[in-house]
Amino acid sequence: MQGAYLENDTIAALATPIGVGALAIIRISGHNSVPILSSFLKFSNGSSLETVPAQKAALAYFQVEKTILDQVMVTFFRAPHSYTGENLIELTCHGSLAALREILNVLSKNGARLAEPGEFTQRAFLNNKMDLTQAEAVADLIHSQTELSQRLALAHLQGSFSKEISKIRNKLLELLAQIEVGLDHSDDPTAGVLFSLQEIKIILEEESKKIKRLADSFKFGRLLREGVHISIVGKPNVGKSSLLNCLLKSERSIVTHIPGTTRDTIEEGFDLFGMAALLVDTAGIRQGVVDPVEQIGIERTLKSLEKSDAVIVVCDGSEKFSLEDKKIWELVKNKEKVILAINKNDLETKINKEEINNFFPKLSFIFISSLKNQGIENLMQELASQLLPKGEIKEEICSGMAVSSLRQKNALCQAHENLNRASALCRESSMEECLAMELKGALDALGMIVGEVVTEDLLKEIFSKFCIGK
Amino acid sequence: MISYSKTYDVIVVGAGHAGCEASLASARMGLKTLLLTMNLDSVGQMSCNPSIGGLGKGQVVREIDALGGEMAKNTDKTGLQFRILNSSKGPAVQSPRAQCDKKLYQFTIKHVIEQEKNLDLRQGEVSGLLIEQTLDGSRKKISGILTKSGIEFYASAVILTTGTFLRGLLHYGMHHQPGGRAGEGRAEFLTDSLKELGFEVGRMKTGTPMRLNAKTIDFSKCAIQPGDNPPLPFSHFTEKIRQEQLPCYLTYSNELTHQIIRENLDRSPLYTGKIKSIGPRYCPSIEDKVVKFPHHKRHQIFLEPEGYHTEEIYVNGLSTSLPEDVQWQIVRTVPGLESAEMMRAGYAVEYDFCPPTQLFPTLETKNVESLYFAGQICGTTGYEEAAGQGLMAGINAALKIKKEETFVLRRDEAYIGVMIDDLVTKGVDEPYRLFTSRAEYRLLLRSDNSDLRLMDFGYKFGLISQELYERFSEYRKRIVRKSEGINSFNDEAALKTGFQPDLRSRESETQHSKEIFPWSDEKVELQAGIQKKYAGYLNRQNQMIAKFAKMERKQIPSNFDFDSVPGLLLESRQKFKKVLPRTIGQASRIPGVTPADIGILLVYLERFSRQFSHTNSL
Repeated sequence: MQGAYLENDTIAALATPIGVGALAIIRISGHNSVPILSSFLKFSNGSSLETVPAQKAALAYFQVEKTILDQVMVTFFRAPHSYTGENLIELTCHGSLAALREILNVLSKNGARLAEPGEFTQRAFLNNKMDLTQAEAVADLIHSQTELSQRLALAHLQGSFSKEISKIRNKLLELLAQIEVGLDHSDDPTAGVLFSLQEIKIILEEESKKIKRLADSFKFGRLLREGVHISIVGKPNVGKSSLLNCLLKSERSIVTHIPGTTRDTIEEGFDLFGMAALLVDTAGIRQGVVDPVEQIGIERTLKSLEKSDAVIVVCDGSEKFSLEDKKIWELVKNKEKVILAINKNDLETKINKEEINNFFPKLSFIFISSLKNQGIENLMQELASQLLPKGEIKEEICSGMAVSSLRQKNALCQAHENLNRASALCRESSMEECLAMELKGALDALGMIVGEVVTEDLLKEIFSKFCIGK
Repeated sequence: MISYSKTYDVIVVGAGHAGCEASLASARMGLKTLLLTMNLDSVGQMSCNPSIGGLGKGQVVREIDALGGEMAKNTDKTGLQFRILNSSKGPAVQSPRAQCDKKLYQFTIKHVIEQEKNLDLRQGEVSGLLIEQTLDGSRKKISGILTKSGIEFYASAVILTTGTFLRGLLHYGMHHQPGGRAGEGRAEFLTDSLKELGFEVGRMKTGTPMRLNAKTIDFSKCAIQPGDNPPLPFSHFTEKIRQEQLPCYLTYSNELTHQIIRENLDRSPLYTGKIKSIGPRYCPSIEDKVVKFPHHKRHQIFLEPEGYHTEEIYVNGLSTSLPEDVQWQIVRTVPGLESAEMMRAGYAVEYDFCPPTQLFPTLETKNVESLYFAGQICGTTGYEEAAGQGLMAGINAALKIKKEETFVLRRDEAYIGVMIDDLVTKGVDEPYRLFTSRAEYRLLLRSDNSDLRLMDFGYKFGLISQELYERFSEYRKRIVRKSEGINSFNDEAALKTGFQPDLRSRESETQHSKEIFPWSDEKVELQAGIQKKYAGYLNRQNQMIAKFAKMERKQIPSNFDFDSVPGLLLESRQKFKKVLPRTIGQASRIPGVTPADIGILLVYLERFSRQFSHTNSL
């Protein structure tokens, strides 16, 4: 953490505010920005990052192996002619949070670190890209941002999240003290009882599991912060758009009876019992589409489905199920959270429970009428019960235990990796110094979250627990 | 008042382990040096235990040796038992340790000092420091010392290595008497002199066990502890240990010992509040161990010979300040010591020190230019820690007089670097000793590669001879040839010293006939093997070092005004002003300083340097 302000490593961050917008910009700066990015960018004109003209936008796919995450505009500012004075690349992406998150994830897994607040500006300053008045503004910026983040961090630290981290940290510290006594004071077997490698391994694995669980809670922390993504899908003209309007209590989507009216996906934010949610109305899916515009709409629907945290499948209860409904089932059956909304409850219902179970096995279903605004509340409840965290996890979130920033998650993953390597080392008894290095690495990573120093704590632990010295 | 006719470059006050290394380094770097001691018969004396080295400390001794110091060589000449500690563990945590003949050790090093060109050894007690103003009038500067006998000695630099002698007070139970060491006086006046100059002075405590007569010990009841066979030398330059080797013995305290201690705590200066200063946690007295760890049924006691020509046995593990009569009783509860006769009693000593945050990383004081501190005056304990600081202070005093760049070892270069950075950045709240766990880069700072890490520097300062350096360079080349690119730190070291040893050159096989003694192809093989064993880990440590390198390189000018930086937390500002960090890296290690403080500091530092260059160009 100490190094955060003067490292010359590569940093990446979202340069536009978090939230739903048409476009968002991810910035990557540092001497490794080109090698990190080049394997993921496939330029439409076949060129590569090394050869694209500087400061000119170029179209590319951001793809990991065969999977396209987004189509982006790439602008390369070559050092020193960039904001930071380093090789800086701006990716103008589509504003989908899921895709942005995924891209940042990919970058951070491949050697780019998430930037600290004000870090781009700071680099600009250090590389002489700014004058003095600007520099003072930078100091103010760092100061205020840090104050804010300190306040946030403080709030966080009082929660049980930090208590849990501290518990794990103390356990690891105790373990490291054990190992250090074996290394630094090995000539005194009467100093105290040392754990065996087998015992160390067991503790390491336990703590590693706890860290993993915390890292996994990132998903829920993220849901809280960034909101959930809910797609509404169904064959044409079953009333998807009118359901969206019902949920939004406004006339956002143009509702007609002509199938295929919604040709593009429409996104709207709404409040699901206190959780931010993004509702996506999609183009109806049907077979035999010839209109190329509608075809594009359908492809977008499929993409939206991929990113969704939950899906509402809408079908027309006044008609018998068709093969098209079956096709939609095929699309959503692998999603974790799917709700079947059987619309047009105001008309005569032509499908029964047996048919529903037949077509959409194991799905929870709700009869609604978006026209008469019936069953909408039930649908909201069902969404909430599936999406809002429950039980233990809910408590963790309410008590602030969930990991809410990607930086915290990365620190936890780092610690997790260190512990896994450490536990693998427990097989060889002459590798304790390496074991100690891994444990120290894990402690440093956890220290980045709770901000504590290791060496002094460690010596304190050693001298309080072991009778050392002659 | 009499002024001594000869003017010195450097005066070293105190001839303990710090003073010996400081004066030798300065004299060997060509400077006229005076070494002053209160007692010529105790130069280089091992006041406490008869051993040199140990975990962490052994690495320091090897580092001193690679830099051209004397401690390792002197140990090799006088050691009566050599052991590699942690030999069953990885090479990064192995350390050499030797038991020495105490008298032989001190007389040997005294003779080395007496023979050294440029170095005068003289008896006398310093009672005051001679001070002048710097030319620009902004700072005080040292100009020499005044002895108790009224003689003024002038010098460009003074190094104080006062050990436990600054107002030393010896405790034997509830009885106490002035003295820096049993049977010797103390430095009475120097503390006042330091206080007048504005130095903050604190007090510390340490202790030593009793000594017994070997003929009254039943060694058959103890476990014999032989040294390694063959004994491995400490110094890179020693071919072989030839003198006779002696064993140590191991026995244990027991419940009866502990009971007697508990019953007499009311006569302990430690537990009656008579001694208020802080002692080292890692070097506790036996009464400390018994009180703090009541469930431990026994503690180790090592019986270590003090020399070839004495029956005195050092009782390692029974350090105590309990009254003498209690000490007799304690001793006689221990198996093998039932009828042991005590020759000297153990005692505790309190002494003055100056908190080391008052020093620059060169060990020069911030208050007074060209005044340096080394050893226990800086709040450390241990012969090795003292010697390491003495060497660094000696080198830096000499470099300053020669108007050359200062010499500061980084935390990734040496344990000496870790120690001095800890001292001047974090300060101390108990006597400081080295542990390998204090080093972030333990796998790099090994005892086996101290030459590879540091010998370039030793050669650069003229402390390693041309001939030996050439052999060393050949040794290094062979390792690189052997291990093909695993080598990681030599380039960095070469960069810093300005030397460019041609590491990658591939000479023909005939070059192999080149003499590399005292190194050998066996050592080449061993070193390449160790580097291979740790390759993955060393890579990761090197990446970490590279990450922090920029911070370490970013200098903070000595005239930088921390008050001119708005937005710093008040506490951080005070810490910066006290420590006066030399680099951003050092600033970031000050306890309690936040990354935000560092961020703000950087911005204003840049502003400062630009204004400065602007003024200069006008």
